[in-house]
Amino acid sequence: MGVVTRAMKRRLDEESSNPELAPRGGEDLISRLPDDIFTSIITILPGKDAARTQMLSRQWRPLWQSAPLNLEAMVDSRTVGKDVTTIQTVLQAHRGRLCKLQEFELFYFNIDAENLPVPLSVFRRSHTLCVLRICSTCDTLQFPMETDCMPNFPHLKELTLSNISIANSTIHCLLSRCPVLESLVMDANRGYHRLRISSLTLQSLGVSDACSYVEGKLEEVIIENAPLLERLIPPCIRNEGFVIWVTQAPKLKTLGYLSHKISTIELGTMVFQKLVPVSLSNVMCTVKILALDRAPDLDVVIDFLKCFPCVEKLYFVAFIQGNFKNALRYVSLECLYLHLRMVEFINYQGNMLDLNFIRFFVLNARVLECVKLVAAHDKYGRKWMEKQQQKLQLYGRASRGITFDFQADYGSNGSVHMKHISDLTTDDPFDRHRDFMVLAVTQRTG
Amino acid sequence: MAAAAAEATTDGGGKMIILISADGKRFEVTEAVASQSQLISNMIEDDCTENGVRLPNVDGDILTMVVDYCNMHAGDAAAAGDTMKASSTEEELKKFDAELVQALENPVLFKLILAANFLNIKSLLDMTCQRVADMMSGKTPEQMRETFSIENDFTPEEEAAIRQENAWAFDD
Repeated sequence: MGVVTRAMKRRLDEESSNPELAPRGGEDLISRLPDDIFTSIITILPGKDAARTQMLSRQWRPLWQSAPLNLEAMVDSRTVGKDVTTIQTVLQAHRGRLCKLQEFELFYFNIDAENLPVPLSVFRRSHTLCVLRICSTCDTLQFPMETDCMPNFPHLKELTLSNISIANSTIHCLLSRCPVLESLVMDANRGYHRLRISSLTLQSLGVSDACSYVEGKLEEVIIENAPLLERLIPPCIRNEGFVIWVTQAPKLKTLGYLSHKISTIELGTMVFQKLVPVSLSNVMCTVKILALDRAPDLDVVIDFLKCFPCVEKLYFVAFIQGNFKNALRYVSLECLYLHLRMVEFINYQGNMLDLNFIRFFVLNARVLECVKLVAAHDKYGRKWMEKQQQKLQLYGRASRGITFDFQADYGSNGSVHMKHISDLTTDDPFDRHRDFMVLAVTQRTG
Repeated sequence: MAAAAAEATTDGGGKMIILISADGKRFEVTEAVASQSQLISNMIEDDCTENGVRLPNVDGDILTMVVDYCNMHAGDAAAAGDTMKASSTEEELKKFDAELVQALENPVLFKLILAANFLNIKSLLDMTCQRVADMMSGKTPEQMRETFSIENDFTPEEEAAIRQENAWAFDD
C-alpha cells in the first residue's frame, strides 16, 4: 500500500506542476464520468427509467445490461398476464441467463389465487439476489418453492414476505439457505405457527401474525441463536396469546412495539407476562430504544425502565386506557438520571392520566431533551395546544431544556413501516419524523 | 512553511494536513476530517502527507464544497455510539446534505461526482449519484438527454430498434 500511495502522491505532484497533464472539466462533463459511476446511477434508477438509459447514446447503450438489475414489479389482478410477461421480458432483455438480479420486489395487488403468477425463472437467479421482497394484498398466495427444490441464496441480505402462505418446512428451509441474511421481515404470513430463528448474521427481525380468522397464523417466535440481533420488532400483533422467546440477544438495542397481546416475552433471563415484568432482578443494558403499545400506566412503565436502565428513547402508543391513577411521584432511576432523552406519546388525549404520565417524565428525567406529543388531528388546535403547554410547564422540572413538540396525527396507529424495519442504515425505525414531515403541523415551544 | 503547518496540531490534538487544489488554493483540515477520503486516509497511513496533498483534478471551488461536506460529517462516526446525539445531529446533517445536493446543477454536480470518486468519499459519491438518478427519474430519453446535454449519436433506425427491443420500458 505504501508504495502505491507514494507513487500516487508523486503523480499528483507532477500533474500539479504541469497543468497540461491534469484532466480539466469541459461542458460535456457527464460523458467524462467513468463507466462504473454510470453503472451505479443506473442501478439506483427505477426499473423502466434504468432501461431507458440504453437509448441515450452509444456510450450508455451497453451499461444497463452490465449493471446489476433492481426490479420492482407489481402484478395487478386486472393485468396479470401483461404484468407477468413484462417481468419475463425484462429478465430476458437483461442478458437472459446471465442476468445479475440484485434486488427483486414483487407486489401482488388483488391476486386471489393459490399459485403465485411469478416466473420461477426469478428464483433461478437466486445466487445473485441481495434483496427479495414479496408482498400481497390477499392472503391466498402460496410461496412458489418447495423444500426439495429450494435454491441457495448466498448473497441474500434482506428478505421480506408479507401476506404469503408458506409451509412451516418451507420457511425454515428457505432461511437455512440464506447464510448472510441481515434483515428479515415476516409480516402477516400463514402456514406456520412457530418461527424458529438461528442466524449468525441477522441484525433485524420484524414479525407479526395474520388476522384472527386466518388458519395457520404465527403464534410463537423462538430466537435460539442470533448473536448480532439489534432489532426485534413485532410491530402489530393482532391475536392474544402471542409468545416470543429469545434465548440470548447480547446486542439487542431496539425493541417494540410490545403490546399486551404478547402474552409472554422472554429475553434471556427476563420474563414479561402480559407486558408486566415478572421479576425486577434482571436488567438489560443494551436496549436504547423501547416502544410500548399499552395503557399509559406509570407503575408498569417505571418497571420497564428498571428492566431496561439505559433506554434513551421511549415510544409510547396509547389506544387503550385502564383503571389506574398515575399519581405524580418522584423516583430516582438510572434511566431517568442518565439516559432518557426523548419520549414520544402517540394518541395523546391530554386528559389527567396522559398529563400526569408526561409530567412524571418532566419532573424526574434529568437529561430529557424532547417530548413529542402526537394528538388526533380533530383534537389538535392552537387553543388546545396552548392549554396543554401551560399544564406541562411545571415548576421544579428535572431538566432545563425540554422541548415540547406537538404534532397532529392523520391516521397513524404507531405501527412501523416494514421498510424501516429492514433499513439498517437508519438508527431508529420508529422515528416517523421523516414520513410525517409534510403532513404534521409541528409546533415547537421551549 | 507548509511543512510546519502540516505538522501543526489543533487544540483537540488532531494533526492538521493541507490539501492543495488544482488552482493552488490551500485548505487546512484535521486528519479526522480528511480521512473521510479513503485516498487521503491511505496517504496518512503511509505518511505521505507532509508538504500538503496536491489534488490536480479538483478545482478550488469544488474542493471548498468537499471540505465543507467533510467538516460537517466528521463528527458522524464519533457520535454513532450515542443514539440520541447521533439522531439530533443526523437531522442537521440530513438538512445540510439536502440543501447541498438540491443546489447542485450540472456542471458543478459532475465535477463534485468526479472529485468524490477520485478522493474516494463513498457517502458523498452515493449522495451525488442519487441526485443524478433523481434528475433522470420519470423522464423520457429525450428529456434525459436534454437535462444533461447528451449528444444522440444513434441513427434513427438504431434508435427505433432499441425502442422496440425495450418496449416494456416505454409503456406507462
